[in-house]
Amino acid sequence: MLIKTTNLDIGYASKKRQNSIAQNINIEITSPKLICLIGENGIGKSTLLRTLSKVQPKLKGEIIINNKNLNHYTAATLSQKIGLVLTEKVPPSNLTVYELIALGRQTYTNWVGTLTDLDKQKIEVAINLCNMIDFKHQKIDELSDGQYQKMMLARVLAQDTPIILLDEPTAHLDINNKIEIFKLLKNLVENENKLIIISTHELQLALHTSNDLWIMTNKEFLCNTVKNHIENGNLDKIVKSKLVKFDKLKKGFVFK
Amino acid sequence: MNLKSTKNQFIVLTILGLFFMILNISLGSVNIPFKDVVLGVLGDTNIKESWLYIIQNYRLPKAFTAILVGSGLSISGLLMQTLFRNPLAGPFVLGISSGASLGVALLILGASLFGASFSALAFSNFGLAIAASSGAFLVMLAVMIVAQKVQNTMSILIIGLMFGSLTSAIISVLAYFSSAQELQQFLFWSFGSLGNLSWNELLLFFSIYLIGLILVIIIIKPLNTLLLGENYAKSLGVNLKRVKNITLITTAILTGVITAFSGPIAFVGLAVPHLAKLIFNTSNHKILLPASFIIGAIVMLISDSIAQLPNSEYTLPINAITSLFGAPIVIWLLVKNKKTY
Repeated sequence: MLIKTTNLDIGYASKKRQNSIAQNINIEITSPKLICLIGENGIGKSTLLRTLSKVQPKLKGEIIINNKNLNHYTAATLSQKIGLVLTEKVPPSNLTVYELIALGRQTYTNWVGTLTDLDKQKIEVAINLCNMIDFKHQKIDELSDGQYQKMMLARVLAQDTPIILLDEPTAHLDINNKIEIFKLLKNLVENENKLIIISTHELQLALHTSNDLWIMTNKEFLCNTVKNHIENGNLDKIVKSKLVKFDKLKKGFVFK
Repeated sequence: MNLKSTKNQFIVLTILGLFFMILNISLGSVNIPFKDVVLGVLGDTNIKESWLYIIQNYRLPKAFTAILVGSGLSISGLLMQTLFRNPLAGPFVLGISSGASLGVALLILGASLFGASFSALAFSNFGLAIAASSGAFLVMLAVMIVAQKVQNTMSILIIGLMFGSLTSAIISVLAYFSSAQELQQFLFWSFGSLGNLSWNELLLFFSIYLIGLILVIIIIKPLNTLLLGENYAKSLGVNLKRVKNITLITTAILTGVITAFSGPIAFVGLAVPHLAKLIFNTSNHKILLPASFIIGAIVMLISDSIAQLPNSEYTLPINAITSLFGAPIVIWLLVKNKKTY
């Protein structure tokens, strides 16, 4: 069992009140695959990813990660199971691309953070996979948005976890970079046996590359394979406008 | 980062540090020939007895104090800048120096309120140190207790600043009701002073300082992870609460003990980490911490040498010298490098 949630409620809680964003989320993932999490802005996609990775506490329910209750993980043990790329930017600093990617190995290194040969090898593999060789020695503040996203991806690959959660990794990217990243993620699932969950607004790319779709609407949380979603007509639930309709044959959205 | 050039920079800095230490010992109100200074440091008893006494019991402890003060404040400043991700943070943002000032103010300015037995204590070196450290400790304790209750790191920064304002206000009230003589004594303390420490006091100073330094070494790795922001640091296995607490305690210990023995010395803690970042062009704490240590020591040794006004009997307040000469250098470096920080 890679991830399992039972009656999970997510949202924000303070002492006085609870702001619940989504309720009764039930997920069960047993094998590595590429999952796209789709839904409109503010529906709770980021909150769900942050809750699954313990960045933010859950409101109710249970989360099992790798056959173990999420409550029983320390930050250190969880960091070897789940890798994370958030939408928040890394604060400005003098770090180079290589140094930032190398920080992905922090959870495995000794108390002063010395990189072993294995660490260096994993870092090189991650850099190669994300095509970042030419930018290795650049400062992180000098990167374009596309290079920045690929660097963050390389960092989480260097962390080498069975589960990777990515929050809108292709936002701000041009179409070529988007396709490249989706292709890379698909490869990782097939060749490295990773479970990758990404939240995205790229419906078309999601439909053609992912194994499963999680569709979040304000009424329900639907998990299924892409094929089943199409057959059940679930995709029309994301688009409110009457002008656009999902075409089952073309596997895409069309204007009426 | 080029490993070899980093190594060379460290070698150059260490040599500079040793040079300025010897320079610092050879300069002072009494003119002692350089050859005799070296002999005096090495413990040769063939030189003039008064010179030997000056070197061994005044100038050597003063140079060591300068090194401890400069390096300790710089390291604390670096810790605060990383923890709060704020280039304006320094060792005193937690209100520790204000706490120490409050302790001393209560001792000196409050002496008349509390009676004569108190004022005898006020004039002793040791009394000042105890008052300063208990003041620093109390404010640190208050900040730590509040810090446990708030999740947000930025809130801790603001709370520290508020404690600072609060204690400054109390000092103002005390100052308003005290005599000119008491005010002058308090003012002299707030100028900072590196001298006047006996070897025994220095040993106590060093022991406490060492505890802080060991704690810093423990958190080098998580400090680097914190460069990515708190959420990423957490997802890379950093126990945020623990690291935050150790960082706060370390800063409190270092700045607390320094302020207790040398007064509230400004500028060094804020500026030296920036100098280290500019010179080494890195964010890696494995480089920045030793760099801040050496540069801080050098800045303090130079400032003290200038403050002595060699061969004259006057000594300028060290607090003024650090800013007077340090600030233009930092401005010049920032303009020259055209970097954010």
